[in-house]
Amino acid sequence: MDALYAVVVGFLFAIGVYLILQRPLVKLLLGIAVLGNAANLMIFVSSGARRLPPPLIPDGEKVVTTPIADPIAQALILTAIVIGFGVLAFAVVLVHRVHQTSQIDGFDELTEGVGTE
Amino acid sequence: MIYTNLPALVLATPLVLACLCFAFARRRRVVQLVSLLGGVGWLAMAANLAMQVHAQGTMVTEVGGWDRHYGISFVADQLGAMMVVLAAFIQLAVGLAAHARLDRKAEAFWYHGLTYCLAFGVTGAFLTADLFNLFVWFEVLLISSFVLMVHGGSDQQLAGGMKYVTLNLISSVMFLAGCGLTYAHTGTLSFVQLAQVGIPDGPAALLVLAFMLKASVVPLAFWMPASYPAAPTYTIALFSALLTKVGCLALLRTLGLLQNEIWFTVLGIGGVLSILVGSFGLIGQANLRRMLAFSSVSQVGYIAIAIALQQPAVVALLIVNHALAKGGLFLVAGEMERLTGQTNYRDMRGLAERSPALTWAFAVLAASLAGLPPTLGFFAKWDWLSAMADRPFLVILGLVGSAATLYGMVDVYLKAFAAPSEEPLGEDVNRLSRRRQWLMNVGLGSMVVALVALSSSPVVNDPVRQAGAAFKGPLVSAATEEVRP
Repeated sequence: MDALYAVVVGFLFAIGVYLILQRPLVKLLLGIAVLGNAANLMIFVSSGARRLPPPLIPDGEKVVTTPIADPIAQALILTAIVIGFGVLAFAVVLVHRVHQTSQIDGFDELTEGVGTE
Repeated sequence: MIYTNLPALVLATPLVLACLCFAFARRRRVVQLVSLLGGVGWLAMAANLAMQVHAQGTMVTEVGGWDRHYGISFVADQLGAMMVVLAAFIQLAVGLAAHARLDRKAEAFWYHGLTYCLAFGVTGAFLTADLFNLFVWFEVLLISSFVLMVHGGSDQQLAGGMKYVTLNLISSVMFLAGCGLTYAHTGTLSFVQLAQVGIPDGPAALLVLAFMLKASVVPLAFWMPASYPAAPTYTIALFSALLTKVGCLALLRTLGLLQNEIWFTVLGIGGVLSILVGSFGLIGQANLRRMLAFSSVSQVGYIAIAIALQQPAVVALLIVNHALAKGGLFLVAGEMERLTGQTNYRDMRGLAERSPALTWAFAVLAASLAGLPPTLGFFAKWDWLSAMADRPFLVILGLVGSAATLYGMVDVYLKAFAAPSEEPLGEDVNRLSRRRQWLMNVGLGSMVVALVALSSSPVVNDPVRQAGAAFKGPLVSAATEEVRP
């Protein structure tokens, strides 16, 4: 099962990189979103994506004795998802604004401008 | 090692100030007062932290009482505490200049609050003790910097911001993937524990690439000359003084954790290329901002080589010098553009006549950037060259890099300052009100004074050196030092 997940992660990274290399800015956004998800899935898989009980200490015990799902990897992913969502939302607005003000859609058409204040 | 809440308190202050600035966003005077007085208070707290760390040793805050290898913790070692003082000082000085230049509309859009959010992220990155929290702090400072980058929303800013945002998002993904793989391989993310097991090559490659991009080391540096010049000068002053330094400190902290020593070589080669690209890039730039951005690339090259050769004392001196000199020079560039209405420095003329004070500020900052004696830059470069003494190639490279910077700065002086104006001096093009002019003078002046004070003798810049020299790879490793309350 892990091998399948590994292939899926690799495939997602490939899709993300491919989309980022495309000309339109919208594909760039999609690429960034896919890349973020690929990284999250990779953390999930690398910590062992198996069906295991949550990390709860049973009554009367001091430590867990049975195998448990790793809570740290899940905490990392949760944090990363939230951050990724916020940043992506900002990027969407930025692309929209770039399109609005300069009517361009391609990364290479962005001017090498210098601000004037 | 002392367990105290002081590091967390210093960290929380900019967040509180940011919230206050947002809460009173409609009242301009209140925001100005909060950001200036709060900035002074924060600087005092940071200085207090640095002095206590210097006197008593590393300070640790364990949030919620969780052991620092499992929970979130903040560790202020000497270098980290010194960097926080630097950040607080830059924040205040550049903040004054921003007060002088911002128009009412821009100020109403939360500018000062955003700079404190940025400072919050920067401070967190300096004080954090584990890899994933470093990622989170990077994101905090990045999202604030994204907004500041496009603050004002001109076409150029949006174009520059788009490049900046894209590259930083990609490097964030690499950083995140590196964190995840590190955890999968080692089962820990705490710097101290990672130092014992070492980060294997796969995640190490991702982390080094991500940090090299944030620190703008060639071949991952070209976003900086492409995006920085588009933002207003007071914003670039803040970015160039603080953001690349966060990347440099992250490299310094993590390189020692990697299993394979090849990464030191990789960073060293990157540093050599940075000096070359930055030096040749800055010569022949007609635009002052772009020239300064290329000069940043070359200065980061020096820092990268010092990190690669494990000379933390030299790194500390170079970082302080570059932060003050480059931050100040961007403010000077803003003033030059304001006084002449030009962005190309070859079109500016007669600035020495128009503003002698600005000329002096430029001379001091530029001398320190190029490393002329008796400035702080000279001591930093001297230490750098002494550390490289047995590597003639690096010595020659360092001298060539310095010469290129000097050439660029002298060219700016001759064309923009010394060359007499063709027309008689009229009114300044964009005159500031007396109050704004005063704020600008204090902000820029304090950076020059700080640089001169640190330059004045090797005795005074010794604290910086010591702070660097006290850096021992991972944060607080000696378990024997631990004294729990």
